[in-house]
Amino acid sequence: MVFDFLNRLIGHTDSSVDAVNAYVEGSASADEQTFVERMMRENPGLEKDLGTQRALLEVLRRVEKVEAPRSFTVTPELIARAERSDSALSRVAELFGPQRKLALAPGVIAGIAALSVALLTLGDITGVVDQTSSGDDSASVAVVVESAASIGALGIAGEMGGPGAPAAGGTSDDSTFLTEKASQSGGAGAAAATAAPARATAPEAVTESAAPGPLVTVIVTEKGDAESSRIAPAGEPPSLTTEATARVARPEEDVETSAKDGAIVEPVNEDTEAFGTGGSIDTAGTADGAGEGALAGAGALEGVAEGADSGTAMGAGKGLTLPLRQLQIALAALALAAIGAWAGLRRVRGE
Amino acid sequence: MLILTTFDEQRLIQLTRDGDYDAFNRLVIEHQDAVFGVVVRMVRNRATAEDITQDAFISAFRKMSSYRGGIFRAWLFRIAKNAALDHLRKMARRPETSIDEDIVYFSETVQDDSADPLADALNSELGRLIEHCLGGLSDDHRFAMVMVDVEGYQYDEAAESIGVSIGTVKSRLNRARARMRDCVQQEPELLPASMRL
Repeated sequence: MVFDFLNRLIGHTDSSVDAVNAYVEGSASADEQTFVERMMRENPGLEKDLGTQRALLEVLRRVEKVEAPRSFTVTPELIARAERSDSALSRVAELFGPQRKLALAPGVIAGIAALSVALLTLGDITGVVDQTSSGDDSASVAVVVESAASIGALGIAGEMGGPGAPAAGGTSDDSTFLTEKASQSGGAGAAAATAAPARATAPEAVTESAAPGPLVTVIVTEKGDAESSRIAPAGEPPSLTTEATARVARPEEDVETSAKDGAIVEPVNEDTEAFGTGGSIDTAGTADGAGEGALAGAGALEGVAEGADSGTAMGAGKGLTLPLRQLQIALAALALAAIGAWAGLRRVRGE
Repeated sequence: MLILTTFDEQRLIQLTRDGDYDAFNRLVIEHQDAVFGVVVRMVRNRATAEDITQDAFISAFRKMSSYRGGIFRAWLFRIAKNAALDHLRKMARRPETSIDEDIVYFSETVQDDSADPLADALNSELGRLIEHCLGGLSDDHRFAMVMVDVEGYQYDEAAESIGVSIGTVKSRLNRARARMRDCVQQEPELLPASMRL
């Protein structure tokens, strides 16, 4: 096998091949004739095979030569036309020819783009990908949560009030808190929550999600209304002097709050520190004792995300903010462009 | 047909390099039957073979500067062969395209001196069988067989046309003949008595 390969590599053939070919063609030398006859004696079937080959060759040699049906002379016009068709575009198109490695590239690009559009649309419908608009309504963003499962597990426990008081706001089971229509006047990092006004007595209330959920810091002013509530800019540590804080946490998590005015009472959960953006974030609730603290607003939040800050505002890389509508349009355009390019290249190649 | 000497051929080639269309067309007239004959056996379609042959001569004119000597006809064959193989690959990727519409059956051209209608019919059937079996060969094997067994070119010219060594041509021919033999023996009733040993 290796010997045969090496022979082929250097252009040598087995002497038996030469002899057999010469025998079939009727041009065998005496040595070749003797060699083939010996082979036929050793292998009786060979005589029949070689006889068939000789007869076949006779038939093939009787085939009449084909004459050209017309003249194939060239003219300057033919050459000029060929040179035109061999333009740069044709050479590019040749790269995408059926026998080339790039043949499937436009199709693959179109497929990926179309699939992405489909997934984003599906995510939009199912809620995995939600849209929201920025303050100036000129752009929309989407908040993509890690998975639908994580959304389902998320809830808001905007707990306020006296020790042991249940969460106020009644939205702890609202899994859509991450999505929020930004306020009409919102600038970056200043989107106001649409939460119901919280009756916080504290100057500011800090709401922050706890691990492992998305981290959102919402600062609610003393007024507790939507106009003055704001999202804490990314990186801004929650104010430790706030008098009303709450966590956005998983529903099952126990969040303790304090109703002591103006004091950070106790960090509830070590996890909180791990995910904090600069300080202890839990509690220091300053509700009026009726369980309707400022973080009732946070509990009612449907989620706030705005502009470029929104991704980081979610904190801890737990989500991704995408300009969904623009992305869908761009991907759809890419898919169409790829399909168009593919069709155009085929046309150029004359297929 | 005029017969060009090697000296004439080299002179015409030089004139072609200088842009002389008439000189090149004399070369075309000299070799067009041979080129078309090989191409039509490869692609088995007359119209396609005409297009490929024309393209091959146009390409040869434009690439004349790359001709480095050797058998000029073999150089033309190589250009035509590459064009034919490109076409066949393209066809292979588009199996919905039929190549049987204008197929060149060997039965059309197998010479038979007998006036026996039965012999003619068998000859026709044999031609179809050979055509079928030839179409079943790989492109490389078919080209070698067409060049040497059908068109009768010498091994060296076939080797130069294909771009391989003479030994490789012999090996391909050996395998091609064996496969053709196996193929035609599947319908022994069509074979001449000499082939039914």
